[in-house]
Amino acid sequence: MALEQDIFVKLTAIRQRFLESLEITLLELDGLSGLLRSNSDLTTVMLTIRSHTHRIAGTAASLGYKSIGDRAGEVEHAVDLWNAAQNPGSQYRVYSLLECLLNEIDQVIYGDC
Amino acid sequence: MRILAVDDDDIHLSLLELLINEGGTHQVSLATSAEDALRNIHKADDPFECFLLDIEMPGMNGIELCAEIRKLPSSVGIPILMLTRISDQIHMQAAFTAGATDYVTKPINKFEFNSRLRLANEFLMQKQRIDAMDAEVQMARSGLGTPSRIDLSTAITLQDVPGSIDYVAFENFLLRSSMESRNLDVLAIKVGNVEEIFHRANRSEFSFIVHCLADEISEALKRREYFLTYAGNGIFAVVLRDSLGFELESFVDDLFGSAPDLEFKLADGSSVLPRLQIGSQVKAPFFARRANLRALATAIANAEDAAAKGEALLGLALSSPTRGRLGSLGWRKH
Repeated sequence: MALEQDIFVKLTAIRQRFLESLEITLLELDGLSGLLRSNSDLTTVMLTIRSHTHRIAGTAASLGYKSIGDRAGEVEHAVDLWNAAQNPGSQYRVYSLLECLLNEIDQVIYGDC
Repeated sequence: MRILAVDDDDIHLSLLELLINEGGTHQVSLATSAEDALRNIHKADDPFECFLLDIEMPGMNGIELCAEIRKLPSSVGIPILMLTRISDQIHMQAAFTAGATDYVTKPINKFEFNSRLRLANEFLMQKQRIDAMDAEVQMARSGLGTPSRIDLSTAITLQDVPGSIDYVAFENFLLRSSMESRNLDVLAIKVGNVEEIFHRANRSEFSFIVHCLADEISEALKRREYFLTYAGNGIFAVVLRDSLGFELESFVDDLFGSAPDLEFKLADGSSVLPRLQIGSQVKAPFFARRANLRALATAIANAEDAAAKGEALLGLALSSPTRGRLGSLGWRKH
């Protein structure tokens, strides 16, 4: 197998792994988005959201999913701002950006069906 | 190079592995946490020659890991590249302070990544050349060979000097700071008679004198946020990061104080008296990509110019020249 083809195959496999992990992350973030509107322990919810989005932001664009990476970075940043302010406005900002991210991920995984 | 890549995201780690292996010139090992990395380092038969560290990881983060790695004797002069997103760059000063050499931004751009690895490789080869020269000197000292001439321009890595970083890391910091449009002050201090000292002192003595001078510069800057490096050719370069400006007079007062001149006694019984010239500082307020590197070049040129003209010639005055530094080199105050 030529080197370039070998690299292409390996890169495709990594992208596939990323998409599979994204599918699980989508479900988890969806649940966390719901918790943002409830009376849950917000700090734990926010930290978990940040952990997920930090990972996505660091990897997505490197694998060709720039838009998802950018959205995830925005959510991560919004969580940091919430952490500093801890007011309803910044909480809503996290929620709305997270919903945008979930829509982006939906589009990539399931397309326009 | 034998590279250890550390990232808590196993998918990103796989991507790094693919990129590193693509060139076919490096060997890569992977670790998913700082703790895992330290285990790998300790059990490795051959020491790693380069580290790629993600900054944000659960448990010990990449900056703390960098500092831990730098404590190991085998890590001296080994390139450590941090993996960071653009928005994480606020952490980069801490990373450079902890001993990072450079950083690679996420998302990974293949060409930037390869270019950073190439630079790291050159940095490593430079380190190996210096190690080889050190070995020659050791041989010479033990009577097994003849002394070799060490290049005057060698940028000696300062050990245990507060605020000091390797010269390559210093340049990288300036280059990357230009891109962030940070307002920095850059200055250079020249040992005016460095050639005389270099030719009369042996390598150990020369290195000791450089370290003593660096200690004093560092002491004079102790209330500031700064990085200090020895660039070779008798030049110490300083970047002030706290945007507080720079006053030459107060710096001179702090550096030279009221202590009398200092003389280093060499092994052959003679002595040398370093003379320092301080070039006027250069502000680097521009957004242009290489503005801060140009500022460094200008600051060095200013110090060289001052040395050449004999301007601002200041006999070295050290208030406590062996502060914290152990060595056999004799010194005395006039």
